[in-house]
Amino acid sequence: MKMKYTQSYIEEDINISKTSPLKELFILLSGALAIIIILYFLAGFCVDKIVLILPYEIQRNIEISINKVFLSSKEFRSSAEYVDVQAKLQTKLDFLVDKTPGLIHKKYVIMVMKDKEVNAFAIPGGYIAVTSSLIKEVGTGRELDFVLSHELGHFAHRDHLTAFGRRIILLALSTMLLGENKDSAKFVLGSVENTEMRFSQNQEKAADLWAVDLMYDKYHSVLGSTSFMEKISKKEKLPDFIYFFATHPSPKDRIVTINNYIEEKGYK
Amino acid sequence: MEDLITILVLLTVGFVVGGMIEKAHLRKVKERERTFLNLPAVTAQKFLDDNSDIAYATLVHGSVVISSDFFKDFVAGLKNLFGGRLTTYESLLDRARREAVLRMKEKAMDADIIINTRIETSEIGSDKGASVEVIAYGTAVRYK
Repeated sequence: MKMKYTQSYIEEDINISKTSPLKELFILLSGALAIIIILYFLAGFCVDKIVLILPYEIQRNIEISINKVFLSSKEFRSSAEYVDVQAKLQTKLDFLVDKTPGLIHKKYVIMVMKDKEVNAFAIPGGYIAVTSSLIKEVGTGRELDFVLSHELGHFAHRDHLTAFGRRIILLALSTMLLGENKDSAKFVLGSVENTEMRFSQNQEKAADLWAVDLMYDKYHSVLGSTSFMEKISKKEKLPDFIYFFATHPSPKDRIVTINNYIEEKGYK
Repeated sequence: MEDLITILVLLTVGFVVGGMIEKAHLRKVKERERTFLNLPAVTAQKFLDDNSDIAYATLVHGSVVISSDFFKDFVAGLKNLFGGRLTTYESLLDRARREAVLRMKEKAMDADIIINTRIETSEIGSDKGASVEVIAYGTAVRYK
């Protein structure tokens, strides 16, 4: 006798786990971030220490090899329009560099770039770039001396080398642990970089204080140390919380830090 | 920071929209599975009832390609670090297998049974997230 087969239907999705995907994401992300941040800060701490004990010759060579990337870019070119200003600033820079301890390059070169953004930055290998808008904003007096001194502070503290070393470690860790070109790796990388902003802000503050010392050493006066920041602060329209994610502290914070330092040192 | 925001937006879209699509698909799959309860698909290679006369036997197959969403791929990417069950892909593969079997059954509407059923899976476009193709095939048999 043939019996008709009737299968009973199982409502439950047996092959699908009942775990919460959001909970899983949170646990995995927290774990991955914790591992990478711990390894990164341990390795970063070692980099900071190693950079300080590296012979000057090796430091110079590393900086020169990094700066090839910058100098080969069209963005980083001096503007012919500002040759006279550049010569004036070069004299200023030479004066600031002369006999200043802690600077490893024999020559520091100024580059004036035509740009709408008010900015100045140090390029590994002994180059300091200043934008035309910054010169329009601050002129070529003591305020600009402070800006140049601040950038020299980055060279003195080997900030390029530590940032470069930390960046390599971060990329290596995220690639090793999470793979290359994966969104999860990009997310973890981005999150650690934001944590890294605090480190970068500390570097900026340290460069500010180094600049104040240099200004006093060269001019016996700290005139111009905060006035540039005051100008920027007045123009600043960004809310304070934005600076939590920025490489630089807010101008207001920098002014307070510099003024406290000037008072502590008894500079005039 | 922009990268982080972009990824967070994509994660939210993947979780919400991907989740909605998945739920809707599973609901439809269940409805269709109920209608095909009386058409068993078995893995046995021989006719189960050798005494019955067979009206016809024919190859039937059903295939489907289903893409993962950003959220699933992201969680799976993190899972590679720690190991364990890739739970976010379980639903993807389960849906694909069930859908392929259902499509195979839809091609065998008049059959009494599908024997020698096989299910195969292959990966498509692995560079930009996981997409799977699942094919189910078997021999549809109609008894006289």
